[in-house]
Amino acid sequence: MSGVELRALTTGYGSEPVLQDVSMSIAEGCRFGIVGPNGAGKTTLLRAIAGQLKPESGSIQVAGCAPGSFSTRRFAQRVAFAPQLVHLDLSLTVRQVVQLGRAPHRGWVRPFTKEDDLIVRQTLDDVGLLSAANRPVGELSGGQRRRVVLARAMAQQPDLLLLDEPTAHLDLRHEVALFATLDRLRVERSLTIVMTLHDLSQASAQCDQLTLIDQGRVVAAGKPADVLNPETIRQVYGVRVQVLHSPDHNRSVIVPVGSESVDDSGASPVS
Amino acid sequence: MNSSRRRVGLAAFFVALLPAVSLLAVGVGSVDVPITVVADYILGRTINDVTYWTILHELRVPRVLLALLIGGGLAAAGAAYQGLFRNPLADPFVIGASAGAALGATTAIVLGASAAVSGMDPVAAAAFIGTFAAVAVVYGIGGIGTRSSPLTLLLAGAAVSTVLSAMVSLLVLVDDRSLQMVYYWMLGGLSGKGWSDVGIALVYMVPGVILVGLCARPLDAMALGDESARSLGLPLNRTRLLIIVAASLITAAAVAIGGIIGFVGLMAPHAARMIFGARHSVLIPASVLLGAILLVLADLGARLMLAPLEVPVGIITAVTGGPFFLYVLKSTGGSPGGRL
Repeated sequence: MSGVELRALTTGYGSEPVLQDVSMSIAEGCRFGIVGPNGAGKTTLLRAIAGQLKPESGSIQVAGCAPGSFSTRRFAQRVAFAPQLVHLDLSLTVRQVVQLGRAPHRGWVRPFTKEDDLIVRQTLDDVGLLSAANRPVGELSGGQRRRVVLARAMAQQPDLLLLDEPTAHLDLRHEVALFATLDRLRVERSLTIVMTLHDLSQASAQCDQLTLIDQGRVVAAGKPADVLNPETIRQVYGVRVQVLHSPDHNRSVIVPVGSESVDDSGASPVS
Repeated sequence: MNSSRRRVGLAAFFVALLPAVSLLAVGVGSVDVPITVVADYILGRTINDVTYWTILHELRVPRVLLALLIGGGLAAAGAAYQGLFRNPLADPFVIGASAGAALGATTAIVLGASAAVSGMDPVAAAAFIGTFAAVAVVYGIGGIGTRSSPLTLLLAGAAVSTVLSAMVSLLVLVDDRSLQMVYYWMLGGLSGKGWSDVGIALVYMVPGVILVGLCARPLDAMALGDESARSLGLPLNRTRLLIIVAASLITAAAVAIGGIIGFVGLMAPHAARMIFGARHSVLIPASVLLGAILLVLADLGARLMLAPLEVPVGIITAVTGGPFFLYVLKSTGGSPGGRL
C-alpha cells in the first residue's frame, strides 16, 4: 500500500501559501510526474508528500494514513525522498552516504548488517557507482553526486520514492540507466515513484500520469498525452510548441517553435 | 586497501601514544620523578619517598587525568558541534558556552561568593551554571521552530556571546579589584586541581561523551542536510537538543574545572577528520583520543615552558591553535560541505 491522496491541500512556508487547493490521487505502482514552470510549487508539493511540510488546510494521505500518524522512522521505512539541493559532507565516502539509507531499517545505534551491505552494494551497482564506493563525495562530479543522493534514497527500499529533479546533472547514459533501474524496482517491489521533471518530453516518456501545476494550483492532470497539449503548454509556459507523437502514441516529444514574452509574475500576455 | 591499513596503523600509534605521553607528563616537571617510581605508583606498590608520593598522588596524577578527561571531552563536544553545525570551525564554545561561563565566573568573583555548590568551588559552580544558562538562551532563541536551522543557532550564539562578553567587561570595570582573578581564570589552566575535580569531570563528562558517541549516526545523517536527515526518519529537533545537552554537560564541566581552554575542541576533531575521515562513529573516538593527547602535552608545556612559573594552558593551546585555525580557514574557505 503506497498510494498517495491529496485533498484540497494548501501549504507553504510563511504567510503566503505556495500550494493552493491541490487535489490529486496517485495509484500504487504508478510513475507519477509533477511538471510546471520554475516557482510553480513542484518541490513544495514533493516536500508536503514527504511529510516535511504540514498542511495549512486540506489533507495528505500516504497509504491511507496522514504522514504525521506514522513515527518518523516508520514513515522513512516506507517513503524515501531525494531532494534536489543536498548539502553533502564532502569527506564522507560514497558508501557511507548510501549506507545511511539503511538507518530507518536498522535504527540510529545498531551496526549495519550483512544484508544492509548487500543492499548498499546492489544500489551502488544500480547507479553505476560501485567502483567509486570508497571515494570521498568531494572528489565526484555533479552528476555522480546526484547519483549518490538517489542511491541513498533507493537504499531505503521504500514503497514510495519521491525524487526532486532526478535527472539534473545526469548525462544521457545515466539518465537512461536511472529510469531503467526505477522501472525494474517498480516491477520487482511495486514501488510508487513520484518525481518532479523539467523536461516535458522526458516526463511524457517516463510517467504514467502527470500533473501540471502553475502558481501553486493544478492546471491539468491525467495521462501525459492529455496533459501535454500545445494549448495548455502555451498558457502555462508562454511558449508555442509542437507536440510530436511516437507511432505507438506512448510518448510525445515537445518541440518549442516560438516564445511569447515571459513574465514570472503572472500570465503571459499574448504577443 | 592501503589507506585503510594506514589508518589502522595511525590509530594504533595514537592509542600507544596516549599512555606514553601520560606517563611522561606524570614523571616530568619542576621535580622529575624516576620512571621506576612512577611504575610503582601505577602498579599500586608502596612508595617510600614521601615527596615523590605527594608529587604523584596529590599533584601530577590527578592533573594528568584531568587533562585527559577535559581534552578528550572538549574534543568530543567539538566534533559533535562541527557535525551539528556542518562547519569545521565550530568548537564547544560556539553557541555561547564560553561567554556564559565567563559571566558566571566573573559574577561569582566580583560578588566574592564563598558557598560551594555540590562539591564545586563557587567560581566553578557559577561557570557551570553560566554555561548552561547561555546555551539554553541561545537554543531558546535560535533552536526552536519548524524552520530553525543550524545557522540560526550559530548567529544567536554569536549575538548572545557578544552581549554576555560586554556584561563581563562592565562587571570587571565596575569592580577592578577582580580584574586579575577574572583574567587569570579566563586563560584556563589545571594548576592546583585535585581528585575532587577528577570526580566532577567523571560525573559530567563520561555521560556527555557517551551520549555524543551514541549520536554518531544521526550526526552522519545531519551531514547530508536537514531535509535528507528528516527523510531518513531522524527527529531533527530532538536530536539536536540531545547533542547540545550532551556537549554542554561536557563543556560546562570542563570550564568549571579548567576555565576556558580554547582550540582543543577545534583542533582535535579537525585533525581526526583529516586522518580518519568524516564518519562520526570513528571520528568521535578518534577526536577524544587526539584531544586527550593534545591537552596532556599542552599542559606539560604549560608546566615546563617557564618553569618554575606556570603558563596557563589556555595560552599554550591558543598559541598553537591560532595558526591552525587560520590554516583551516584558508584551506577550506570556512566550509567542507558542498551543495549539489
